[in-house]
Amino acid sequence: MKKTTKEYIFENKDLGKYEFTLDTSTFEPTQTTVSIIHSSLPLINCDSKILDLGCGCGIVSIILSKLIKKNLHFFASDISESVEEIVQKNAMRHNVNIVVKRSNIFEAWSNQKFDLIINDISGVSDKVAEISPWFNNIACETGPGGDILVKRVINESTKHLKKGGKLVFPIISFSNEDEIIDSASKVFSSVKLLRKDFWPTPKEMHDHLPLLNTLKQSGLISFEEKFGTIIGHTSVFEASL
Amino acid sequence: MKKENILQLIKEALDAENEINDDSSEENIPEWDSLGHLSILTALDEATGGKASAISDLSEATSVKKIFDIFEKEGIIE
Ligand SMILES: C[S@@+](CC[C@H](N)C(=O)[O-])C[C@H]1O[C@@H](n2cnc3c(N)ncnc32)[C@H](O)[C@@H]1O
Repeated sequence: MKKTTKEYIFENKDLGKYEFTLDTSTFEPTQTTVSIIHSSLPLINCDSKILDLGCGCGIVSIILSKLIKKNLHFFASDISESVEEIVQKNAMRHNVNIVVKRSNIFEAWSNQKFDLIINDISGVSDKVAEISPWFNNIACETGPGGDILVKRVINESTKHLKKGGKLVFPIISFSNEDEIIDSASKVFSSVKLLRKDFWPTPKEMHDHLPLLNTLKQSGLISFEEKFGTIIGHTSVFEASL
Repeated sequence: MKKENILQLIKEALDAENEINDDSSEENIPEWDSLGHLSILTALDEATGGKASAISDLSEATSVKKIFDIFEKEGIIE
């Protein structure tokens, strides 16, 4: 069955304005997308082979290719059903080359190694995903601490990084940050915080404050309540072996 | 705080191209989006020694007028 598509306009003072095609199973970019793009920009060298994991509409690869005018090789994957069609369409619209595959985490990339793996696979608590506007029709089998998929990426990425290669990954405050950092520190010799950005949560989540507070008290997520709103954050890390 | 200091603080928090005046709001300042608003509130919080974070109406105060009204009510504006 053909899915309905919609136009999504991304605009950012530093990164520029871009239009993308999404369908009902494509994730709509957020502030975390912006944080990841900013963090990855300085890490990319000429001839880099880059994997965009959990690519959604392909926004991270597309904006990075547009901004970095070097010879780069982009590979992208997502578990979303229509990822190949959507990302190819967006890549063509922006005149960039991306090899896209539908894949559960690294499954489609066996034996392939990359200079940079940019992970953006769902990483918020599945309990928060249920009440948030972000994950309608989007896979988020992450567990209550939001850490299941991210930890798998961290552990499996070691097999997919070239010598000197790096993994960039965000930790969203609606997940168990300590648990994720702990796993990364066990696998990588260096785990460095690149940036931390704060964002207001969408209004529809405010009705669920009791659930959010219960998760916070259990140490599964974190957030701040200020100015009459709920403030979350995204921290982006760089890990190297 | 003086009103003119608040206007200057909003301009800097938003890194706004245009001048900020009494009529500025999310409607007419392109940089005043939800993230821009959070930058304004964070800057106001620092400038008021943490008083702003306890004011629950501020998340909805997306215009200079509304911010001035709230700060007058709270006795923050000189
Ligand atoms: C937070 S979105 C990020 C999308 C995109 N990078 C962006 O910034 O708009 C997370 C993505 O991870 C994908 N995802 C969830 N589970 C996955 C899995 N097991 N393997 C691969 N991708 C997965 C979702 O389909 C979704 O597109």
